[in-house]
Amino acid sequence: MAVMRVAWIALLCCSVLATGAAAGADAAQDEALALNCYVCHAAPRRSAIPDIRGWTMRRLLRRLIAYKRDPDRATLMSRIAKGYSDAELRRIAAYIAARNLRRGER
Amino acid sequence: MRRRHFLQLGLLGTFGSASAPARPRRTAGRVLVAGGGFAGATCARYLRLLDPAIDVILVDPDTRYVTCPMSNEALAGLRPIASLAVSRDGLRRAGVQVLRDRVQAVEFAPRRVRLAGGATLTYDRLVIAPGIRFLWDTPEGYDRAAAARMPHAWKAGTQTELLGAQLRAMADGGVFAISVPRAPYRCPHAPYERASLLAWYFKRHKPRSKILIFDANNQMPYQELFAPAWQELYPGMIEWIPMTEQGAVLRVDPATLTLYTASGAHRVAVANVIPPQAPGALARELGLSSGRGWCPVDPHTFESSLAGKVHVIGDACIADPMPRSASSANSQAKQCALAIAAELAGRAPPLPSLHNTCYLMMAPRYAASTSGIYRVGEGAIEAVPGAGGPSPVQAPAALRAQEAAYAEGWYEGIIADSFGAGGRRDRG
Repeated sequence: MAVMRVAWIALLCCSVLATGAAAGADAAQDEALALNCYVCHAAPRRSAIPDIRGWTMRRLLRRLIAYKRDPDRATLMSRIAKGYSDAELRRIAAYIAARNLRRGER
Repeated sequence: MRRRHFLQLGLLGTFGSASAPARPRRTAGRVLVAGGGFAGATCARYLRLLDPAIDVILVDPDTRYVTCPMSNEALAGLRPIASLAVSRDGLRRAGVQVLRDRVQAVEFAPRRVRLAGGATLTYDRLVIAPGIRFLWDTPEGYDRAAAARMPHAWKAGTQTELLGAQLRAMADGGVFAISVPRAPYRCPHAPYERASLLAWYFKRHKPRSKILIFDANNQMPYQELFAPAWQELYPGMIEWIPMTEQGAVLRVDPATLTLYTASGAHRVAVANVIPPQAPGALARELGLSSGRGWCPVDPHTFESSLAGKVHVIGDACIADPMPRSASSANSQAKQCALAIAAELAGRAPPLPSLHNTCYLMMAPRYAASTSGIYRVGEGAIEAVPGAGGPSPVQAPAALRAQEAAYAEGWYEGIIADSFGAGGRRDRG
């Protein structure tokens, strides 16, 4: 189980870190989408905003999609997630998960 | 290490016209950032994070930055003003060279900057993040001297301290006036947040006091949220006078603390006069602002429409419909950094995905939020339809309280993300 997870994670890292011009452009596009998250999700200490360091892609994506589908616009994240396609949310989740692993945290 | 040593040598040397230093080996280029607020700091920090081979120099005359976000809380006594100060330590830790200096002149063709301290630096890209300047003598009589009597407190620091001291010294039953300039100005909802939090302060400490908002506009941003909150929390305490009801302040007399509108003279106990605004002086000196006053940019890269290899981000640039806010500045700065890093590496910049989140504080445990997601279509920034927008008008107290807690977290987050962890607050 743990091995599977490591392999999956390694795959993610490779996809984000892959070299070559096309991959570089893809990585920059991932960053253009995902770096916005850190304006709130970057606090160095505990705050009311969920700390997404250590979150896996699966957990991130499940939450983002749930926010997007939530008809209630009360929570800020439900209004934000509606601004992205499912494919973009997938890219965002993959980027953050890979970054979490690369850094051991953020 | 070698790079830093090199730079110091370059700066300490004498500078003739041909003395621009040669670049150290293996650098991806040099980016000079003028201005260390939310936009400039974020851009400098992210350039280093995106490509450590980029030399990043941030030039700002101030050793620390005092944030406008949360300054209304400070005015209301909800946090110390000293807690709004951010040092440059986090930027240095990210490898940004921070120079306490000021850009004096720029030659666009040889891409060369002269600093007030005498140094000359070449750049591959220049990022201008000058924030705002005030258009003095509007209203008539409101000049720098008047601001010492009638503080604007629209750049945080000594002005915030001054207004805070006046409010604390005000007798119960006094009238506090806020004069709001015609839009656009920095942080559109902030005058009304200020009224809200000072109403909270008055209700606790000076309950017979009143707040008058003299407004040069006919629309209050998020009125649908502010008006019911005022009714619920501070009934009868805040009066909003829009432009059509002669709300625009035409003239001030600082000696007698009097505001003159078309309807007459209003003598008050404390006057907070927010003057109209334009991009920071550097943008004008460099010819980067258009006829309308603000700085036109290519929204893909935030490169100036008026000068190549020069980028303008934050409050100074035209990025409508994004509001002029710390969060918008942070997002623009990231896109600008991504575009510069890509172009220095010979790649096309990514398509922009921009974001803004603002919190509207109405009481310590009572807040709402607003957000926007933005893309670039047809050469202009557009809000993604169906996304973003404000908190619901009808909401239980628990949601307002939760958003107030999020607002605190937002502030911690944007400070860490823009200035780097460890840039937080000067001790004492």
